[in-house]
Amino acid sequence: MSNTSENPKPSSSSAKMTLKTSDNELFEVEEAVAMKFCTVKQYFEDEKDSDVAARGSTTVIPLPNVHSAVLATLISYGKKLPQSNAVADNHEEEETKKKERKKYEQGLLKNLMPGELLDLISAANYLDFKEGLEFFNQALADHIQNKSVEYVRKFFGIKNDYEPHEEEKYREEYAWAFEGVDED
Amino acid sequence: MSSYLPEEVVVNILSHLPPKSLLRFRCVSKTWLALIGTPDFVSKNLINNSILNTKSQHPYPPFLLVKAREESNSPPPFLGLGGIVSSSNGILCLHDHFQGDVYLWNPSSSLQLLALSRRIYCPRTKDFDYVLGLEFGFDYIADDFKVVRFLDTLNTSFMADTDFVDVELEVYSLGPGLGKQFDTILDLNMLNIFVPYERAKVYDNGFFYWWVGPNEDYDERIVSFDCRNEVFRMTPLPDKSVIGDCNEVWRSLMVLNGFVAMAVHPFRRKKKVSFSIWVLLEFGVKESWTKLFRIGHYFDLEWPLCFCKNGELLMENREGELVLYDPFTQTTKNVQLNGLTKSFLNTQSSGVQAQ
Repeated sequence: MSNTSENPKPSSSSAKMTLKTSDNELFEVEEAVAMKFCTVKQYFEDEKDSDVAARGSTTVIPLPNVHSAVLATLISYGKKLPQSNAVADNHEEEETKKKERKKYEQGLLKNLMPGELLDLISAANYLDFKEGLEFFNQALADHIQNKSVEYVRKFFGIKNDYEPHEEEKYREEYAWAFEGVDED
Repeated sequence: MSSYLPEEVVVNILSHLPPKSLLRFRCVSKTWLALIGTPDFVSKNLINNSILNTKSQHPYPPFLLVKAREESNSPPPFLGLGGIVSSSNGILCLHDHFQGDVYLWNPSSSLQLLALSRRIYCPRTKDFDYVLGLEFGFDYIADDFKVVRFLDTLNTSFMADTDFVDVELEVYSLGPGLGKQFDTILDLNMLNIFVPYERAKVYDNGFFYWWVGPNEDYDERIVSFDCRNEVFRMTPLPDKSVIGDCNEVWRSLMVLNGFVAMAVHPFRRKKKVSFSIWVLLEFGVKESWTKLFRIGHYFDLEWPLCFCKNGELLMENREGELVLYDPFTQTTKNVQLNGLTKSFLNTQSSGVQAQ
């Protein structure tokens, strides 16, 4: 797993930021992408206000709650999003980009274990990365849609606080909703 | 890494789930029961939002109100004879009872009808064909208009002592250009299907639904016809101990976000009536009929017409006026219209007022 981003393409807004993960890895990220993590954006803006920015060197922003593997995926996803500072494409270019993104998203999800989804959601929430959170929340919803109650409890670490007879009654009343469910 | 997720994130995840999953997951824990809520259209909880939002593949078409008057050259002469079938996606479907032809008319182009209409050629296959019914709608996936015609090929409906009707069903697509395509002719003999009254049928995105009354072999049921795949399916209704007898209580069909919805309301119209609104959360599963809400009799309403995007129900009151009922606030508001109102047809979020 890479721990730095690729060489940047020369562009007018290639300001970079360095993010440091819980396992002490450093990620150099383009500002445009890093700003999609609102927590980072907030940190950066706070820094700008202080005199630290006057020093001119890149600040290292600590992310003690995010592991490197997770951050790599989130950065990768963030890069594929339409950039707010990008020049507007014509319709054809837009359609191509959309298709590419779809393909990338499908590939990404295929290789993800369900447990990793939880980590990604947790991190995206901590980073306040709205698009990432929405995307991975949808992916997790798709994953659990047809799962059993037991699977969901185990997956989310939820304790069953129903009395056995209460649960029994509910399952009888809504028996149709329990049919066609994936085997655990 | 802990799998603990904050509640608002869990709510966001759950908000992407369909009603069946949510109903099952109410059993996960009492916290989830409270988060998901009850399907009752009282508060905008997760399950209610799921019924309103998750299924729809396409946006609700804007409401189209067409006021038609018989005047020299505009709509065809038979418009005034009640030859309106239905409307969908801004196009009106009209039926010439005498010639048997079906016209599609775009009322927003207000010139002569014939120049703009597409004529679908529906030949009589035998001498005694009798058109029992016509359905019309726009299929978003096929990007095409569909017309379904029921023919009584033996003209048995005029025969006295029989409940059996020999019905043929034909499906027509408009197709690209001025098409006149005959897609399929299916023999419905085996299914012994009746063609029901006006309010008990509805179309949604390639599916026709209609209510069929009970007979020797079947209880009353909803029949669906998937005109893309040409497949019939059926779902029994809730027991009459729950919704009343079909000889005393209307079943009016509507569509709510791709789910079949049904209003149950008594015949007697001398006094004001109340309505029970049900939704079928999984087609084919009788137990998935879910009672959503009840509209009290004090609103003086008569007919349900169709659902709007946010769960509001468009209805006709006893004065013949259009009213929007909001189940979340249990209030109504009048929809202003000019001129006389005669009748409203229940169509896919379009209203047609015939004068």
